[in-house]
Amino acid sequence: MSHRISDWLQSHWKEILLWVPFAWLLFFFLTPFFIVIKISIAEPLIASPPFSALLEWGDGLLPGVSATIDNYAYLWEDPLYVKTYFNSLQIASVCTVFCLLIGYPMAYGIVRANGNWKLILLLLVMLPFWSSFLLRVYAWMGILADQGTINDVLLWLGLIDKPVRLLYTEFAVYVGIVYTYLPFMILPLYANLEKLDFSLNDAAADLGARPTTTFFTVTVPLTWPGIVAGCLLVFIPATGEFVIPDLLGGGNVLMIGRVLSSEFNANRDWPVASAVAVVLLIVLVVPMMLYHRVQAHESNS
Amino acid sequence: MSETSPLISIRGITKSFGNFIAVDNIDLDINEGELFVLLGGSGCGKTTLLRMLAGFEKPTSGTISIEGSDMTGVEPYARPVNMMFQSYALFPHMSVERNVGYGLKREGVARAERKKRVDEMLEMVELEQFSKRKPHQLSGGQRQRVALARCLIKRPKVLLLDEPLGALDKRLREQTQFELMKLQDRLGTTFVVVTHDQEEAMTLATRIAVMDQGKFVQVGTPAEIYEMPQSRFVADFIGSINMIDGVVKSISGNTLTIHAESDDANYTVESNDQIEIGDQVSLAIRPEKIHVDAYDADNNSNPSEQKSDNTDKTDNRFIGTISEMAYLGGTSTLRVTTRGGRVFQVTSTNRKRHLTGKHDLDWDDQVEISFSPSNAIVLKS
Repeated sequence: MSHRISDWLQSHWKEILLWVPFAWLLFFFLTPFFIVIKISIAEPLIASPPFSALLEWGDGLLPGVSATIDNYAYLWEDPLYVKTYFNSLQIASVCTVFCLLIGYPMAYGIVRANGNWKLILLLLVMLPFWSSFLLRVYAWMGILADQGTINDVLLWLGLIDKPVRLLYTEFAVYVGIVYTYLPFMILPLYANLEKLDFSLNDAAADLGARPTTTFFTVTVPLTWPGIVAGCLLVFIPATGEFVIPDLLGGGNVLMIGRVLSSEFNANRDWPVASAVAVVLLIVLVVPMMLYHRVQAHESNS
Repeated sequence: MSETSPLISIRGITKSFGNFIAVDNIDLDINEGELFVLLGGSGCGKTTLLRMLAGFEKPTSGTISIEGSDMTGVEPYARPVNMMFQSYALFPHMSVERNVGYGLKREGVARAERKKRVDEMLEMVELEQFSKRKPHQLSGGQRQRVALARCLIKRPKVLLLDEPLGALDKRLREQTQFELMKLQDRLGTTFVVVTHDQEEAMTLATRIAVMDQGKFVQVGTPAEIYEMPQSRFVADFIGSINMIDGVVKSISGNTLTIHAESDDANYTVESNDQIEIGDQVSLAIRPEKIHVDAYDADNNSNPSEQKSDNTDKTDNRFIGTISEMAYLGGTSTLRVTTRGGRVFQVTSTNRKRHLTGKHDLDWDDQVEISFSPSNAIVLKS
């Protein structure tokens, strides 16, 4: 009997090993997701929990189902939500582009640096992860505030007479997001550029390509998977970002993460908050599928 | 030197990396249509020199000019040379067709013209049916031909080849060697080849430069390099050779008698070099230039048919024993230990079939070896 079990384990250990993370994701990702979907089709109540039950057990054999799409309709009807979604996507897109423009040369520089320098530079990229994300955002508040570092320096230099408003603007949100997500752009790009055979650059130059042509015809196509991975790693979390717009943007910057939070906490309207979350997820599934396809393509070739 | 000015003219070129001097003050002219081979061990500076010709490395000092125009400060993409890389450096994301057409596209050649020339080139290297494939779908030999086609389509004045056959297996390498030579002959393009493989160098080259520690040790035709090495390094590096150190004892005309102390023997050799009595010299003799004959101890005569051309009194004749023997099919390599205790490496051609497995000569046989004075080389040590 025990023989049989050990034989079975012997021949199936790979499947078992694969099932562990799969089961983990199934339970800890899909379960909450279905709960959120369930709440999003309920009606708000002043009760605990503050929403109606999906199934009403009455006298009959089958429970009565009470579901509504009112919450979704409400999101569609109120222009605030549509505008906020677009605003979030726009901020996330612009930040992704800036991260790419800053991150690509940095990753390239790190790859081309020699031995010791490479290690130090990589360490510097990862260094911010060693302190709390929240703490770093607070630090930016200190830097951007009216009496903050930037304004102090500008005043001292005599370039301005009164503090420039930096904190609680869209600009502050851009700075915060680009700063926070830059490592997520640099690391996949670095991993990709590191594998690049630089004799290909020599070959392109030898065949008559100027450095910019070489970059766009050889380097970019070959690091495309890294570019896509980096962009998605920045874009997806940036779209739903809550802390940065809340702390650096104040009330002036509309982002979907903040709206979700205030629906949930201030309005105590869990069904609408859940609907906001579900729609956000659907909006983000598209780029995630894209990411998946590129990855599958890469592993194929 | 030919009357026309050389295609490539290198003057006093030096390249150092920090304290390390990779290429040390080299002068060289390469003429149009030559197949010039830079030969040397790893780290001798041959690849650095090639990369300076391509423009990837800037010389520390000295100049390179191609067709009379100075190449100093000319970027790689503007030079009339193309390089075939050791790893081939094919663009992995492009099809064979696009790889080959890359250089033409950079020149701004129109699409139709480009297509025509790419097709022609692929036909020449016999890869027409692979034009849509990606490099990773090709064999090593096919990749090598794509790399070659990608360079040649630019119709360069000079084609630089870095270990062009290094990544191929032995059989394919031999075949490709001859294809390269045929191609070079047909196109008339000047080739500069870097290799560490002396056999490859001998086969391909019209001229060879043997490099060591950033300097040219000897430049000459394959035959000159092989038959008239000017230094121990070259003699040792190319093929195998027997080296005998000794002192010049007497000179008559161009014939020297050299006494070697280690086996207390006298050797006779011809040389036209300026040598005086008492000079320390090395005598070098190739294994295939030594005769070996069975030695009959009883009548002390030599039954060999080659008797006539080396019965001269000044011949270098020694009695010895075969201490080692390797049968290589076409030839056998013998090690003969003379009575004086010197070991000669001798190559003998197996002209007769040995059906019984018993050779004319065998281990521990007594033999007589001899070589003519004109076949030995005198190197001043």
